[in-house]
Amino acid sequence: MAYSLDQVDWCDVPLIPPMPDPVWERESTKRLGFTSNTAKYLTPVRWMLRADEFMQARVTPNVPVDLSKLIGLVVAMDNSCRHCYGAFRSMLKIMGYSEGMVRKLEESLTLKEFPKKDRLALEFARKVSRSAPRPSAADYRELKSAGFSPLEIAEIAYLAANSASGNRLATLLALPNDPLEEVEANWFNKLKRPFTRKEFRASLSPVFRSAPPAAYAGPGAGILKAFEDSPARAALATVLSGAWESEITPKRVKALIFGVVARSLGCQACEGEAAEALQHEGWTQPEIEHVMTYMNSEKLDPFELKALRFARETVHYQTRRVQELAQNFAAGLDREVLIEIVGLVCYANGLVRMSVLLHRC
Amino acid sequence: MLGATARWIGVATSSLLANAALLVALSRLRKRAELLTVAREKAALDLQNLQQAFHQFAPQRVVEEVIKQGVSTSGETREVTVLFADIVEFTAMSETLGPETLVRILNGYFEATCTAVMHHGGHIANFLGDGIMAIFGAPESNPWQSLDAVVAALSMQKAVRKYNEELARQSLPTLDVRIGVHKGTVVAGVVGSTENLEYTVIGDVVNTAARIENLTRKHGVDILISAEVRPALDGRFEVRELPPEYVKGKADPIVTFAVEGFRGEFGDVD
Repeated sequence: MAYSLDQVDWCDVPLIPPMPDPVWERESTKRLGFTSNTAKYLTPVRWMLRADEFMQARVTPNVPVDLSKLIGLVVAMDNSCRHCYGAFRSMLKIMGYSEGMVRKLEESLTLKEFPKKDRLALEFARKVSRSAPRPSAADYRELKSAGFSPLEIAEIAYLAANSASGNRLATLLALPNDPLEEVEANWFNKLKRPFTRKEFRASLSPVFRSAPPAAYAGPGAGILKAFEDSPARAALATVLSGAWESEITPKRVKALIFGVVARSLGCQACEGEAAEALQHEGWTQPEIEHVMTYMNSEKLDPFELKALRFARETVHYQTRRVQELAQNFAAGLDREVLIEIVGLVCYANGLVRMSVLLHRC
Repeated sequence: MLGATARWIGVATSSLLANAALLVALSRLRKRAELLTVAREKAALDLQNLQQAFHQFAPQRVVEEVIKQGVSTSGETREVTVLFADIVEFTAMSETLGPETLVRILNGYFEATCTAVMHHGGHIANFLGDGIMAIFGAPESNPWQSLDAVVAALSMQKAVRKYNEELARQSLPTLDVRIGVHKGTVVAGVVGSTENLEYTVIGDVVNTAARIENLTRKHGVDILISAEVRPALDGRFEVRELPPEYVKGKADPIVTFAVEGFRGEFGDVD
């Protein structure tokens, strides 16, 4: 966990060079009103570009904008993600939080400055992100008894887990600082801030709704139910469906990555979903148990085994070490294969972290 | 007229003096504020460093509890795999070497072996002279903890072989390292006085792992594992069962297995 931006030990060179796709950027601008700065590192994997859009847009209308950005900051600090931490810090300052308030949040371990309800939400978000151990039914009940509705809890978990995915993505790709940091630090922008604050806040408020994809039944499908009719459901289903149907990586590897992350975090329900998907791919139960126990299988080639071991390393990590592992893993890989595997491990981490929603009570 | 001018001069002078005094006071206050800011930033940095160092082997929530309350009461029972490593005849070797050479050899050894432990998910819990105690499965739980510990043991042996080449080139004595690995339930938590806190694991499994490491000498093997660790290894590992042996503190003899090789690829072990 980092308590200040300077403390994060971050690799200076991105894992892959940016590769802008002007067509995508035009389409995305039409949908969102802006283009994400991360997108150019994710081309040409379409489902990752789409996932990045959902990460930037607001799909959780039941959580206030301020709280959602605070969740982003708290989780990015916890994961020592230089890119996301800097971005959320700048965003909060542009929104009107003073340097002192942000510093207090960074240094305060108890979050006591916040109203009880916000504090509970932030502590729950931290638990979702850390998942050491995963949040329990008792944590869920605590939020419920504090007055949060099941949908609000689901959206808080979504925001925390999505941030955990995004932190991993930025960390593994060693993304450079977000341009928002420069915007925030610019003296002229600082002067204008009292006048532009309202406009900036307004730009964060619109809810991004998208059409849900056709029914999805792959790994992670169980969590979708928790989101009722929230736009987060369509967003998540679109990402999951896109990842599952992508032809870059075999389905068995995707299911195994999900299974390995699930076993690492002790989520039997998620592991069950992975096993079910593997059975559809022709794997027997003993074969599945073997690979999950020994991280080895005669049915997988050396690259696929390497991908599973890489997935494991992304569950709990030290920032610099996992960036070194990503560099080793990337050696000799095609851009699209690398981006997709990185994306799969990141979203598997987010998805399993949301599993507290499977046991709603 | 003169009186008025003199009065004006007097007022102006005293006003100037008052302003100058105010400026001096303000400047002092600013300096004091700067010093306080520096002190505050230094304290925050120290706290961050402490948190970071402590978090190397303590769950984040325990670190936070200690910082907030000065103590932690969150001891917990958990399953871990303990690895003990020791240099054979190191005491005898140390008597023939100068203190500087001894420390240099030892530091090189720790550097090589501890990196191997950390790269395979282990945490160094203790240095006991030339011995190392490493834990797998804490602070974060790890379903592959025993597999990781054995792979780490193989990786440590490989690192020592490489280090020995370097020592031989410098005409220094080479090292022979023995490792014991055991798995079981421990109590993990922060113990010690308020001045000297340590996150550690306590339980019979720690003593047994040390005894197993001792048995390597009797069996003449490099890596010895317990029956509790054996099921974590698949057919890629060359494992040989050894006759049961009595060890101190155990009523029944314990069965151990020598790990003699690995056919496959696992990061730095192949």
